Amino acid sequence: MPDNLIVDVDKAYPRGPRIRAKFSMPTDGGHVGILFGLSGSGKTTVLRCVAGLEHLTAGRIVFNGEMWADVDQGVMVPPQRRGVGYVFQEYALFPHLTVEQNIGYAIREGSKTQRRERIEELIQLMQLSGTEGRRPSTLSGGQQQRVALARALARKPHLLLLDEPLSALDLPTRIRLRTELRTLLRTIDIPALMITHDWSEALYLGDSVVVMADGGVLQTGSPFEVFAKPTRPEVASLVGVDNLIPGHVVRRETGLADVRLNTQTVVAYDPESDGFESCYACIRGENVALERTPATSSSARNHLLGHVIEIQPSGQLDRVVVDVGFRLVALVTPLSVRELGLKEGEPVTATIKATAIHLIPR
Amino acid sequence: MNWTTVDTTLRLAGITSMILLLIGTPVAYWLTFSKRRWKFLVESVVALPLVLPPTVLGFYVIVALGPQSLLGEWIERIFGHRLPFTFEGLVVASVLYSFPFAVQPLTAAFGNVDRKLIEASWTLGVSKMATFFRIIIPQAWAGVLTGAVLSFAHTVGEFGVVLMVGGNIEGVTRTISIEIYDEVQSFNFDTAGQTALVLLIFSFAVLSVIYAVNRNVWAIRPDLYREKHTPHAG
Repeated sequence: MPDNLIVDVDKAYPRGPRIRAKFSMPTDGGHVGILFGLSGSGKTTVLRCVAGLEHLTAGRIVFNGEMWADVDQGVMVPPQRRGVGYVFQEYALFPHLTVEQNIGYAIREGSKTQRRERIEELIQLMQLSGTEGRRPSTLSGGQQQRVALARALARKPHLLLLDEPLSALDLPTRIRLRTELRTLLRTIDIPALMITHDWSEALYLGDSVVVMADGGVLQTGSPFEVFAKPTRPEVASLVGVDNLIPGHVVRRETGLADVRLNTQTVVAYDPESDGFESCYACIRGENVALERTPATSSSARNHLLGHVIEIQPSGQLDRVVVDVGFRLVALVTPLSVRELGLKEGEPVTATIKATAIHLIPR
Repeated sequence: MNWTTVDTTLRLAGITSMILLLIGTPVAYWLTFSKRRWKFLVESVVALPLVLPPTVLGFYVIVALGPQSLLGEWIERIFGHRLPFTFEGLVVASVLYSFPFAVQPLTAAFGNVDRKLIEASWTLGVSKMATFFRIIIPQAWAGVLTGAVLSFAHTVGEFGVVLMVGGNIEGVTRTISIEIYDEVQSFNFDTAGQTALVLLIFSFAVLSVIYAVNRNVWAIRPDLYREKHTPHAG
């Protein structure tokens, strides 16, 4: 029996958007798949289709060889019989039941003692001791999230579906629970499909990523691969590439390409694909180094002369916008900005390694 | 006050609202969750008694239950007697007449239940039926109570349909509202006034309960109110 989840979903809402997504992910070894994209990209619809909460317009869903939905064959396994654990974005805890009753809601098998033990086990696992008799509305956001996870795990699901499980939390709690969630997902050995629009969550929690936008899939792969080598300009901007500059390849030689970007030519790593000429150059701001005097010798291939247009403070790093024949954003520490005495209009040299320039065919 | 009449009225209203809860609940569930395009037609039929003159409804009930109709003939064969001018006939007419008073509060209450809670229950392997009793009813109990109380009160207060279908037989089909009419016709204003006052107080009490339940849970269940309004910890 194949250990994978095959999703080939086409869902059209009357007078609404149409969502189409096709991907598959392994389900062995507690694999965590990430559905990544902005809100409105159709992620939740895909998750609801997998859970059986939406009827497909066309397509099919197969889990470990088991047909969950197939429009052509008229198969639609109801959510009750799919054995998934679904964690809703706002948790959807039953407000009229206590923590204990919420967790035990679905446990039906076994004697009363066995059921009690299972609930106790989950309460221990999710560190909820002391809240057993409380109603969900009296719990903190983090506690509610843990109750939702415990409830979803109670029936030992075959697949865990998580709809932005951390988005309803404040930042410090989110970062703490992210670590807990990762530990949990690594421990329980249940495959999971999780929605997020936060790229750091995808990198931290995911084994594979499906990037969605406008009701379709743009790219799939490992989080690092998608992060480092987006194949589409839309993906590049989704994963936070600061510079996406249109240009074209003028020369190729031994794995390197000379790329014309406006009035400047840079040397970039050549991905050796189909010999495209029109392209986008993706450059992450943190991979651009700024210097006042051009380095005399350096392993970096690109030393671009230009001047500072603007300095935008943005948290830990400042965004320094420079004109080097094209508009380039560099991310530099405020300390460096002070030490280099960077100011608007001042001359500056931007240094970029060829391998830090990723080319996407246009 | 004539206690035979009070007994007839309360029995009629009690049985009617019980039947209405039994029939009205599945109808309200269907109206809330069905995605059929012709749902509005069913909604209109359910709401008909709100706008129809009681005489029109009563007329059709008599015709439908009378010996000339197939239904009436069939009922006569099973029960051994015809339904017009009997207590059972009155129950049938009352159920029809108070239908929207049960179904509409139920539909509104079911519709207000957070859809995610229902779906969460389904994904946890709990059937639609069990989800209804374990999630929807506890969340919508105010609506269920409203439906039951409104249909009870509406049946107590009905006049035209009772007169058309039930006639005016003491101990069988004479209800309080008809008695008041009789007393006024016989110029017994004191008796009529007493009974009218009782009905007025009763109706006011019923409506107060309903508005209290739906506006502010605190009025009858302070424990629920506190929980709803406790600020989140942390």
